[in-house]
Amino acid sequence: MPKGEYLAEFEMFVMLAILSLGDGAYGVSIRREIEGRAGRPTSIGAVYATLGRLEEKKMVEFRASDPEPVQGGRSRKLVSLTATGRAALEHSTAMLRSMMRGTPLAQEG
Amino acid sequence: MASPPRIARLLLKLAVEDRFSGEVMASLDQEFEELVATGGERWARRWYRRQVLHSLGPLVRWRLTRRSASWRKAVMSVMRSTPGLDGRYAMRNLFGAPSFTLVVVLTFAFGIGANTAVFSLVHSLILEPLPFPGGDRVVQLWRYEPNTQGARSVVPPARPMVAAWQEAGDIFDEIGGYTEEELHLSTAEDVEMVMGARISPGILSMVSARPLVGRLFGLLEGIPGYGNTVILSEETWVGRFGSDPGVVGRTVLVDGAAHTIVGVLPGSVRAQLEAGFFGRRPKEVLLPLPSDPVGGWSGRPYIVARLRPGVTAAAAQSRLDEIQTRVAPLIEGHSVWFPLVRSARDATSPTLRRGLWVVLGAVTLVLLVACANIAMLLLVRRVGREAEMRVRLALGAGRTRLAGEMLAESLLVGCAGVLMAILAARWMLTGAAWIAGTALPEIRSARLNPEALGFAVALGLVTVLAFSLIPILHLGRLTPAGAASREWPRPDGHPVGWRAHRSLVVAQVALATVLVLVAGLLSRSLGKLLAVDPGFQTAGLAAVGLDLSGAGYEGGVERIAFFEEVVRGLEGRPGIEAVGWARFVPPRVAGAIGSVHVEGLLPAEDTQPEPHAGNWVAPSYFTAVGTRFVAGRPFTSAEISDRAQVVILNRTGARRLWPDGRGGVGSRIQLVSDYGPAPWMTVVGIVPDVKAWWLGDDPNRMQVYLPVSDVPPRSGVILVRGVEDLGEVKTLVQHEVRRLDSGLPVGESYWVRDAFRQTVARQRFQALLLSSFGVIGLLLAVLGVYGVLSLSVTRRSREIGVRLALGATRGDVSRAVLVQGARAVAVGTSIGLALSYLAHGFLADLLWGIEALDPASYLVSLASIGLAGMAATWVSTRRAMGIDPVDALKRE
Repeated sequence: MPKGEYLAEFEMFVMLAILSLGDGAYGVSIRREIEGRAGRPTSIGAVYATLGRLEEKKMVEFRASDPEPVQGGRSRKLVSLTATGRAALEHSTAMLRSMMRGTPLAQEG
Repeated sequence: MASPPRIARLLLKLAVEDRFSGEVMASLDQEFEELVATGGERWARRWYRRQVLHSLGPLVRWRLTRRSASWRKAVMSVMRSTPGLDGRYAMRNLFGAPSFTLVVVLTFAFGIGANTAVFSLVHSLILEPLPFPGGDRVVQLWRYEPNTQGARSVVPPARPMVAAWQEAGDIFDEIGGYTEEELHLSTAEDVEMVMGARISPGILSMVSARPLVGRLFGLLEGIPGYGNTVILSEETWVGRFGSDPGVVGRTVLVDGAAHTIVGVLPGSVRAQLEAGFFGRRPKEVLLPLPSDPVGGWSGRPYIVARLRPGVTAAAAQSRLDEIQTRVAPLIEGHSVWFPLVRSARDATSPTLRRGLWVVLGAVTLVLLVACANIAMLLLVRRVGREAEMRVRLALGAGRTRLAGEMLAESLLVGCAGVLMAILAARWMLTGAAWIAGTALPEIRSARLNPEALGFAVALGLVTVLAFSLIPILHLGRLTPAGAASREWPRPDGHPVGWRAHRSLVVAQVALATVLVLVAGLLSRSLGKLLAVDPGFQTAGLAAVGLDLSGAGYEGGVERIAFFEEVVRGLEGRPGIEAVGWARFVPPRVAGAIGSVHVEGLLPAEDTQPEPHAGNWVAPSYFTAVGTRFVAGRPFTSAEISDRAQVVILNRTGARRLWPDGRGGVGSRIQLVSDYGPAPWMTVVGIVPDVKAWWLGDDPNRMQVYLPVSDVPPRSGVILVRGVEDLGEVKTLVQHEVRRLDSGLPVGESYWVRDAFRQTVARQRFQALLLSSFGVIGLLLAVLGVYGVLSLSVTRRSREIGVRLALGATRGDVSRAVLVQGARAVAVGTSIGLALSYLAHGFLADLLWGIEALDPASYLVSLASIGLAGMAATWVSTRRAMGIDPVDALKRE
């Protein structure tokens, strides 16, 4: 993997949130997922800035959802991981796990 | 419906990339609405703001670091271009010397900011035409009579004059009249005293007024018997009638009579009227001014007119003079009157205008002092960077390139300075409004206008360019030759640049001297005014207005009995030391123009009618204000009930009528005004002089006190002494009044001492403003003296070290520096003195009680300049004395 393609912590959070949300991942749901799981206050701007950066690195892709089933309902920009993104996420988490192995933190996890 | 915070939303929209914008804004809005529903609007707005605050950083960072950002390339290319590089280099230089940059920017901000603020005042109060179409053609029409001192007594024109002017169709295309008065406005809940005006329809068409609701007055409205109608101001409509559009057609009681509301006047129109000519106190209700069947209006209104296009004020004046020869015989009384045309803009506040010009002059001096400081800082910096410039020249840098860099530096400082200046100007205007208080409402109406902003930018640009020129011109003389050599003093023993520095310091000291002198004069004049004894005990004396008009008290005896009953009710109250009543109380007494005849004496040939102060007082008045009679006694209750023809004079008046002292109490006098002669009256008392109209009132004024029974007043003031809280005084009076008549409100309540202070509000405003300019000017000049001497000492440290090593004493060294500083201060002060002498004639009008060449003010101001200058010199001298010869030579 070329230099610069490692994931920053928040990028990892966002990608993990996308993964766990599956088909329903979009800006607000990602923000809520991170807040709910990590307990870390997250701003919508930070999520979109990260999504934009990940998209540039070809790690996520956007597609428009069907409009919401109400009058005047809008369609959302749904987001999903690309193959590159998935690989990068697996790589980063694997690195994290191997770094943790043998440390006191490993037992706690 | 609740909406997200506007500014936060806008910021987010600007920061977020276009393709995400819709999504981000919509989802945030949706979450906001959910939060409003669950946690309330306040909480939701706070959440929204936090979201935006925490979003801005990541979003902006991302946009700045994007690989594909095309604007980034553009910026980089600009940054790499020559001007870009100049700018970057300049920026680096400025940030490298933060204290220099800060001082320059702040000096700039202050100098230009103060100028912008004062220019705003001058512009909105003097230069700008009245804020409606044809406002520059609006004039006020008066009549005047030259008095013995050559000054003019100006009063509203008499009815026949106005009628004749209305007939002459070739001068004015609109003419209108108005009077102002306090009125009782009764709504369903309450009765209140409100400020009102009676106006002719012409007044409203002059400002092209359109009603907010209903209609305005028509031509028939002023004809007596047409029916009572009233127009509400927007504020009254909103405040008292809840903006009810159905208010038109409803009936309200104004001064006890039923009036039909016909419309609502927009607040903006009222502001326009007040900016021009409509008196100072906001009017809440407008009534039609009764017109006279033979032309003009009754009630002696103020007259305002709009000149026909192409007719100048001077042309109108000569036409009115012409008409006057025809009209003069129709005017009652014996006086000779002349018509007077004044541009409404000029008439607003002639004394304030003069004062503002002086303030503008002073603030220009402040700017000049500030400019001298900036120039000096730049010069100092230039000297410091000379070696660098020489090296760069030697290495082949072009002079244009170096000049470009300097220009970029100045422009950057200038831009920052102008931005700060605009902020500073806004604060200063707020400050000025605060200083002016309620006494000078014109000042409060001044706003930072586009013209003033343009003025600030232009001034900033000129200043910057002027300063860039000095070092740039110097660059032309710079040679790379000296690059390697250290600098030596010039043959005259002064370091390089000393001459330029010294001239700047001298100029600063001179300008500061003028500023401090003007400030000193105005402050002393104000001090003299404030120290004036109003002639009676104003401390602790409260006044409460009471108006019986329209309340059904038609008989004079009945009205007097009402006031007396209120006073009697208050007398027994605990805490009240004295209570009384009168038609007026100084500084708000009536003025009448006329002459006084003494029985048995022929009026002197040269006796001219002149303004004298008049008041109608109850016997209790003199007790309440604490008058000590010079001779005679107060009026008695019997004199009031018998309507006796008695009068009380002030000491000066008595002395003027009987210079030989053979007369006074017991003599009979007659007042003659342009209404004709009044009955003969017996003088029963002589009282000390009081200041009738303002603290600086003419001490030679005749003051006449008549019993309230002479003309039983419809309105008057209740005077209460001894109660410390003004609100309590009002409540006490209100209680007594309501006891007698539950539907009657009391009017304005105020401390008499405050009313006197308000009469010198303009003087206070000018003195405060100029004193602050004086202090700033002095500070800047002191900084200048200190800066230049310090520089000189630093640059001569080697020389001083050598001298000390060769046996010179520290005394010799310090004497040299002291002399250097003292000479600059002395020369500057002398030039400043000469300048002040040249300008002193302009100040004379603004001063009270002192001459424009008042020795005491001059001495104090000169002493403060001299002391401050010498203090700055002394600090620099101590530095010189502290130089260690070994250290100084080691550095060599």
